[in-house]
Amino acid sequence: MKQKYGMTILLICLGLLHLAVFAAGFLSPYDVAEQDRELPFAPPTRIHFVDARGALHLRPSVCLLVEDSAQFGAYHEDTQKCFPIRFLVDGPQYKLGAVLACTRHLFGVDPPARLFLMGTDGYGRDLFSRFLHGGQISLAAGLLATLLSLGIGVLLGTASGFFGGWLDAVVMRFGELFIALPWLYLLFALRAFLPLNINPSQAFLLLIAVIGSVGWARPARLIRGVVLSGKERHYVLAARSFGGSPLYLVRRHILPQTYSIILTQAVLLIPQYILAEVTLSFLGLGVGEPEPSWGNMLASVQQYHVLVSYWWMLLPGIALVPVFLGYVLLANTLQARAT
Amino acid sequence: MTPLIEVRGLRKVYTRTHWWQKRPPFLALDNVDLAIQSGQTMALVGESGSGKTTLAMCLVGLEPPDAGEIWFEGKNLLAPGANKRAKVGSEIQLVFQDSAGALSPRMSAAQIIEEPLLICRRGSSKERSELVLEMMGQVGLSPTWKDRLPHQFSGGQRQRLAIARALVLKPKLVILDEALTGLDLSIQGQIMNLLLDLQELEGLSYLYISHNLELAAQVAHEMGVIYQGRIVERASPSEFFSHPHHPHTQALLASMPLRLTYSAHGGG
Amino acid sequence: MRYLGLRLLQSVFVLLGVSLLSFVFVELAPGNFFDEIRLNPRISSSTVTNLRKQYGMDQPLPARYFRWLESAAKGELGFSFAYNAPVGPLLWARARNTLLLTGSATLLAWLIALPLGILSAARPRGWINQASELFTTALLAVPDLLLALGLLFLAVHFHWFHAGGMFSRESAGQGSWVLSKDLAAHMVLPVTVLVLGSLPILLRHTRAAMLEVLDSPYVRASRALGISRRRILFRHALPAAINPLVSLFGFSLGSLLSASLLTEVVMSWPGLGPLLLEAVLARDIYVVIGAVLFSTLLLVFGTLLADVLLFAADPRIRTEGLA
Repeated sequence: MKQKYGMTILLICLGLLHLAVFAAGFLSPYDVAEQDRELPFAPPTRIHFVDARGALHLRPSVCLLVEDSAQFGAYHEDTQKCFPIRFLVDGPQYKLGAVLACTRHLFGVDPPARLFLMGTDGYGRDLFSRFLHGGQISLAAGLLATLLSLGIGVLLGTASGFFGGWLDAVVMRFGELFIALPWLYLLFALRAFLPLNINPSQAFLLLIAVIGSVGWARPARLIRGVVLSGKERHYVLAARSFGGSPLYLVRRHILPQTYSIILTQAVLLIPQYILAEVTLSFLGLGVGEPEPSWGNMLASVQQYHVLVSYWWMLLPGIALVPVFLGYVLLANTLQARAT
Repeated sequence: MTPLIEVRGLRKVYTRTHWWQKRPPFLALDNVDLAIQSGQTMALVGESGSGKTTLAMCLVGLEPPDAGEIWFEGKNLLAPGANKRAKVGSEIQLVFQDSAGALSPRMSAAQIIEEPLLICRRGSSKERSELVLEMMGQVGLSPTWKDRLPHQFSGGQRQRLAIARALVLKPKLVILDEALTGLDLSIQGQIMNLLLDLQELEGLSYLYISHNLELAAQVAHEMGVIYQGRIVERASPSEFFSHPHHPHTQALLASMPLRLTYSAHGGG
Repeated sequence: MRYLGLRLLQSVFVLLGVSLLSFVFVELAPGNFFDEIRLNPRISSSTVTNLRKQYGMDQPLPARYFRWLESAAKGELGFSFAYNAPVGPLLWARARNTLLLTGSATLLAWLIALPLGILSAARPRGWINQASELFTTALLAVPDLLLALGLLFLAVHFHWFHAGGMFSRESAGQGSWVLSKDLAAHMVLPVTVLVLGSLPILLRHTRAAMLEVLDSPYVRASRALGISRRRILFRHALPAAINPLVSLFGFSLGSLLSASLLTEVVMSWPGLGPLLLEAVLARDIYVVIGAVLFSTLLLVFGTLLADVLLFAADPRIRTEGLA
C-alpha cells in the first residue's frame, strides 16, 4: 500500500520537475541572453518580508543592489530603495513549447531593481533563468538520446535474437566493441571525430546522436536475451504453427515481452545520458555559449577565483541532485516491484 | 483405405550451431514411418529424448525435417513447392503439454481462440466472435469467461482452452504432445472424455504422444513405441500388451506398476 | 586453458577493431590539425603541405593504417602534432598517473565495499544495512562532476588538502619521503571522488551477490546441519559469491576509467584525461586514437585479469570444458 503511494508521489514530483523546466519561459524572470553589465557575479538577491521600518508584509520585496565603492566586485543592498515582487508580470517575450509566443512571467520586479534568485554570472546574466532554460537542453538531450539508444537497441536486439545466425554474430561482436570501451572515452572519441565549431542547435542534435549511438549495446544485449528465450515459448510456437509471419510474431508476442526491460533500461539510461550531456558541455565539447546548458554553466567554476569567491555558481550543479534522486528512487521502486 | 496421414522415412539431425561447440551431431529422428487413419487415434509412447516432440514439430511444420516424406490426404507436404505447407497447415494442429506456457499471458480467452482465425484471415469479425463462443461451449468453458486471462483459469480449464484454439480451424489431425501429463488425475479423465467426444463428433484423428502407457492405452486404436528416434513397435493395443516384440517395449511394459486392463474401443 | 586463449584472442580482436574504427572515423571527419594551422596567415601553404607529407597525411587510408600499426608495434603509436613527439611515450607518462589514481581508488573502494556488503547481507535488518542503503541512494543522486567540484570548493574554502595538481611547487627537488607525502596529500581529493563515485554500485552488487548466495538451498542446508554462521559466511558463502564479484570487478573498471577522466580534468591531475581533452580540442588525432586505445587496453587487461582470477577461484569453470 505504502509502496503504491510512494511510486505515485515520486512520479508526480519528477513530473513537476520536468514541467517546471518545460515552462522555463514562464517561470524565469529574465531572458537568457540579457546581460546586466553593472552587476556581474552578483550574489543571490535577498528576499525580504520585513521592510526597513520593521513592518511585516505578506508580499515579499527586494532591495536595490548597488556596487560597493570600497571593494571591487562586492555589492551591498540599498535598504532605502525597495521594490515589491510582482506576480504574473509582463516581461521579455518567450515561446512556450517553442510555439506559443507569450510575454507573461510568473514573477518579477520593476526596474531598476533586479531579482536574481541564483545570482548572476560573469556577464551579469540571471543564473536562475539560464538554469531553467539550460534544463530544457540537458533534460531534452537526455530523453532524446535515451529514445535513440533504446530504439537502436530494440531494433538490433530483436533482430539479433529472432533471426540469429550471422546477423546475431555480427551485431553482438560489434556491440562488444562499444561495451569494451569506457563510455566517456568513447564519447570523447566520437565527438573528436566530428566538427568542433558548430552552432548550438547543431551541437544539440549532434550531442543526442553521439550519446545515443554509444549506449545501444547494453540494452540490445538484454533485449536479445529476452527475445532468444521468448521466441521459444509455446504460445509463440503455436502462433507460428497457424502460419503467423515473423513480423506478426514479433509485434504481437515477442515485443510485449520486452516492455518491462525497456522500461527499466529507460529509467536507468535517462539520468546517465543527462549526465553525459552535462559532462560534455562542461568540458566544452557539447552545447556552447551563449546557449545555456547545465554543463556549460558549471564550466566557469573551474576558475580559481570563481571557486573562491562566487559560491552561487555551484547552484546549477546542486540543482541536478533532485533530478537524479528522482530517477534513482524510481529505478529502485521499479526494481523492488519486479522482484 | 488410404490413411489420412502417412510418414515415410522421416529424418532429422541436430548439428552444432557454433563452430566452437564440441557436441557431435544428434540424430533425433531416424527413418520414422507411421500412418494414421481418418477418425482414429495413434498413441506414441516414448521416454524423454526419444524424439517424440521432434516428430510432433516436424508434422506441424515448426521444424523442417532433413529427409523423408509426409503424405497428407494424398499430397506430399515436404515436396518442393513450399506453398502446400501453408495451405495444409491449418489441417494439422498441436496441443502442448504446459497449458500455462502455451497460452499468451496477455491475451484473454476469446483472443487466444480467435488468434488462428485472425492469422489465417477467416471470416468477418462477427463470424469469428460467434465461432469463438461456439468453440468455448464445445470444450466445456462457459462463454462468460471469454475475457478472462489464462492465469485466472485452472490447469484443466487452460488445457480445454488450448484444445479449443487447436480446433477452431477445423483441423483433421490433432497432435497431443503430453497434453494430459501434469494434470490432476480426475481432470485427466475429464479432458480425455472431451477428446473422445470431439473425435466422434468431428471425425478427428489424434496422434497422442506420451510417456504414460496407461493413458495412451485408453484412447488408442493403434499403439506405437518410439525409441532413440526410431519407431520400434507398431501394433494394435491387444497385440501390444499381449505380445510385445521389441525389447524396449517389453521393458516399458515390465516397468508398469499395475496390471493393465484396458476398456476403450472394445479391445480391438 | 583453451578458454583463456580464446579470451586473449578476443581481446586482440577488440583492440584491432577499435583502432580500425577510429581510423575510419578520422577519415570521415571534416577538418584536421593542419586546417587549423592553415588558417594562420604567417605559415605558408607550402610549409603546411610539407608538414603534411612529413607526417604522411597525404597517403591513402590503408597505407596510413599500416604505418600506424608498424609504429604501434614499435611502441610509438603514431605521432602527436601538438607535442611534436611520438604518442607512445607521451601516453605512458600520463597513463602512469592515471593508473596511480585508479589503482588506489579501486583498492580503497573494494576494501570498503566488500566488508560492508558482506555485513549488510549477513544482517539485512541491521543498522549497517539501513545506513549503507541510505548512503548508496544519496550518492547515486550526486553525479561525479558535482562531487569533484564540490570537494574542490570545500578544499579551497577550508584549506583541506591540496586543490588540484599532483605536486606542490615547494616540494620539487626534495627527498623521496617529502615527495611521497606531497603526492599522497594531492591524491586525497581525486581518490575520494573516485571512491565515492564507485561505492554505490559496488556496495549494491556485493550485497546482492552475498544475499543470493546466502539464500541458496545449499547454504540453508548448511545452517540446518548446524554449521556456525561465521563459518558459513566465510568458508561457504563468500567463495560462492566470488564469481559474480569478479565479473563486477571487470565491469566497474570501465566506469572507473571514465570517472577518472573527468576527475583528472577538474582537479588538474596530469593523467590521460587532460591529455585526451587537449588532443580532442586541438584535433591531434593520433593522440586521441592512442588514448582511446590505451584505455581499451587497460579495460581489456583488467577484464582478462578478472577472468584469470575467476578461472583460478571457481572450480566450475576449470572443469567446464571437460564434460
